[in-house]
Amino acid sequence: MKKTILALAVLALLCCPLLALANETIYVYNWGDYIDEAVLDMFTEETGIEVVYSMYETNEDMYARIANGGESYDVIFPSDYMIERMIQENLLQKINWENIPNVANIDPRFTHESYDPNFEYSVPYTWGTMGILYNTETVEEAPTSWQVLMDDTYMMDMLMLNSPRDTLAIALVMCGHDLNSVDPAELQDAKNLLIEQKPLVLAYVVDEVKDKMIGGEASVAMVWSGDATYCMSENDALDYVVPEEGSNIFYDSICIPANARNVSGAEKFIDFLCRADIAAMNYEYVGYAIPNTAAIELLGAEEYNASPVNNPPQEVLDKCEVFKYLGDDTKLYDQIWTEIISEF
Amino acid sequence: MKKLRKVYIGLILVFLYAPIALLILYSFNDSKSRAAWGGFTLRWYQELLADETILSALGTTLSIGLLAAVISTLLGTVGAIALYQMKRGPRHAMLSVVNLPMLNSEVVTGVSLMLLFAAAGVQTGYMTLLLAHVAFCVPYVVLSVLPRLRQLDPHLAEAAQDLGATPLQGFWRVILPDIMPGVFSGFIMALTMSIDDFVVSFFTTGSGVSNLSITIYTMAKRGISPKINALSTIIFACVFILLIGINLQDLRKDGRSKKKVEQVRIPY
Amino acid sequence: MRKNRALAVPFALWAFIFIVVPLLMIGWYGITVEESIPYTEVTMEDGSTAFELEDGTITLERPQKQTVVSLSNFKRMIEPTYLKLLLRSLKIAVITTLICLVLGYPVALILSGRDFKRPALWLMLLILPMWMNFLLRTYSWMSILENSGILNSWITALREQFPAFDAWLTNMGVGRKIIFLYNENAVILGMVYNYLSFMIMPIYTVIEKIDGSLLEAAADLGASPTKSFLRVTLPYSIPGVLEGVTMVFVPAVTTFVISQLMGGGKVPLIGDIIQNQFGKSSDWHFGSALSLLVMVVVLAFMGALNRIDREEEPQKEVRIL
Repeated sequence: MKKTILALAVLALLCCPLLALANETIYVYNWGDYIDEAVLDMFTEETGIEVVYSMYETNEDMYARIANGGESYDVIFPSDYMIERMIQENLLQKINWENIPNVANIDPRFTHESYDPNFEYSVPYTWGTMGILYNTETVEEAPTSWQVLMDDTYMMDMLMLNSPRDTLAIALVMCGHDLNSVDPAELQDAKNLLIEQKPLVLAYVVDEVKDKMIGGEASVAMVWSGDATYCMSENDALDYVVPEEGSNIFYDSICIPANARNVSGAEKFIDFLCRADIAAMNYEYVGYAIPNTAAIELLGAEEYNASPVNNPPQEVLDKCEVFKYLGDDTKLYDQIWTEIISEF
Repeated sequence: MKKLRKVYIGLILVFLYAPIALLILYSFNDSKSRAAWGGFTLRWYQELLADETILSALGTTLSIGLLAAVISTLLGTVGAIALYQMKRGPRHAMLSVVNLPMLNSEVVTGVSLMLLFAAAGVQTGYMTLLLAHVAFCVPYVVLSVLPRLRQLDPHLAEAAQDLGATPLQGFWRVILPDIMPGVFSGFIMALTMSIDDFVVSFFTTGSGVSNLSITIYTMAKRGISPKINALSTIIFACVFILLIGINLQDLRKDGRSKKKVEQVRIPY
Repeated sequence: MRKNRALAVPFALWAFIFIVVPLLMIGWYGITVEESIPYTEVTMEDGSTAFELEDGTITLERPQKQTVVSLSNFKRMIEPTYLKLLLRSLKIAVITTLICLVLGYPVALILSGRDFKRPALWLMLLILPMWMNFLLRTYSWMSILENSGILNSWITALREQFPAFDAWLTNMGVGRKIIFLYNENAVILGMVYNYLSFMIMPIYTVIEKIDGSLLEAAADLGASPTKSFLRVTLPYSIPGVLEGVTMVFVPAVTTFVISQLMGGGKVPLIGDIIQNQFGKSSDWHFGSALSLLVMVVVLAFMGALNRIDREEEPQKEVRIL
């Protein structure tokens, strides 16, 4: 019996991945389904750098892991307001552009945004809008307003995002408030609305929304545009709309956390992602609009721009607003979100 | 009446096995949708074997499980002996402390260890995952070794030492053989606990290290892939063969006497 | 065995670091909150940005947060929202435990019956599913019960096959798709499925040990099977029942995975909210306070059980057969 245990121990040591330190490694932390995983293999093949890839659901989940825990990643993909927050809290490091020549592929329209005004910390990766995905087989009239999420025709037939900032923002818009509001009374309105809406909602989901909408589990869902593109390509009955009250437009970027261990590896990876062919591959897999001019050329600009999801009309864009980092008021959002999910 | 009993057990087994049977069935389904049957295929198994994420998670689960089981068996056995030698008062106090993780819910254990690692400034990853698993496994080992020690003749080791054995020899030659069954069942229990754990791992791992539970959790968040069904089928088959193998002898010996039941080694 | 302090010290140290300190950490986080230091951004003469604190000091680094002792977490915890949530978690856990007991006790009883052949084999069959990852087991239920899942597709097929059945269902007011998931019952089903064996095993272990001659004596003295069950088996099985109740109740009251999966986020339990505090809502302090609450509730429950069990020698069954 002693021998058995000993043998098992040896086996365990053999399996122990700690021994596999031989290769250079980068740790990448990304949204679910936000990269064509074949790209990771290609990167390893070309550079010899192993990629340890893990996923998060929302900006807030990622932030919690990086800000409080002792976790270290080399590449992360935060959105606009989260980038602003992480810059303020010294959680990101400046990027050395000399090591990222492919940044030239990025459309300057998407750089120097308010969250990174000097274009120091973030490389634009994707952008998109928040809107409603609906099933044309069960939704007779194309929705034009967020109010469809309060319509009891779709009782137990709609999906909401389990994402604090996004969902609260939509509720704020539905109440007629600004989606960056920090007014406690306005947030209270949004909270009450979401609690009132609860009986109508089938489930609160994030990445599962795609599987469920494609499978016909629900008729209406609030989704990000790229997920909508993906769902629509899998199920012809689905359609996407940015409601007339306005919505959120977001920019997701690639960043290097302050405590990254392999900065040069991270730079190589970011440069790789900015390469036209790779960005095009990712676009085809992920479905989100990309800020990469060279990749769009490669994909065929005409076809790419024909999609109203990739290239929304100006009047839609005019009604969309970027999330701002709300400083200390973020705490208010966190508390209100906890209260919302605690209600039943 | 006798029939009724069999029927009842049968019904419970149907309840327990129906989902598993469906899972196995659908792992051979040549259609991504769960609702439709698209013919027989082995493609999900092929895809599974090519999926590095799942395979590396399986490796992590097994290596963490074995390492955690070995370390916590050593630590737990040492702990049990230490407890056994303590005076009544300190022993009771110590025992209550050691029992705490078993009484506490997994969430509390996971959260508390996460706070510990954060406070210590340790980067979460493989090491923290291992430490956390050892932390929640040790109490189970202690509790399976301690009763064996209590059954020992307290004068045995002393006699051995009086006869010239060093304390270490006394331990190896006299005590260890006697408590070995307890040590072994502690080991198996630690292994099982560690392999099956999700909650504590969820809070204490990081930086890309994930075991099978966590991988399944993240994977299924994005839609239940038939690959997961294939994985479940394989795991089920392995466990089935393993348990049958372990118990076959006992079952054979079983014959008419029921007392042998106690030897069936099925941790739960 | 001669006393050997060399063993006790490292073990005590280990227990202190990995059991006591982490719990103290929860306590510390529970009684503190993070507060930001108020400041204003000022532009220096050379155009760079600096930060002025309230007392007039100027720093170049943006002031970060500070930790202060406060009872506000506990004040927040006793708001009706969270008390209601706790009560609901307790309710679901109690229902789960009762169902497991009602389903599981007869199983243990039947298996330990004197005339039941090959109990070891059956026992093994009952435990085998527990060896599969519990997430996988829960997912399989999800794919059965989803709106577009197996059960619904079967029902749809049956409806198409038998118009009478379809008409009957329509008459009953059943929609095209029956929603099985995303409610309390689904969560309870998931828990019962996952925890049932936890109830069966300890009860079986205890009943199996009851001295057969005791039952024979009861029969000889003319006791009916019912009477001998009530007088002998039932009282003797109480310790097993208590252990089973503990093993089901504690995980049921604190789980966060089953409720998320089967409940689709619509059936929040206290465990979900704790997990949320360490994730999306990023409030470790409130999360710790809630953890303390859960700990107190669970320990109080165990205390109550121990009271019932007081006459019995507190023997901890090692959970292996």
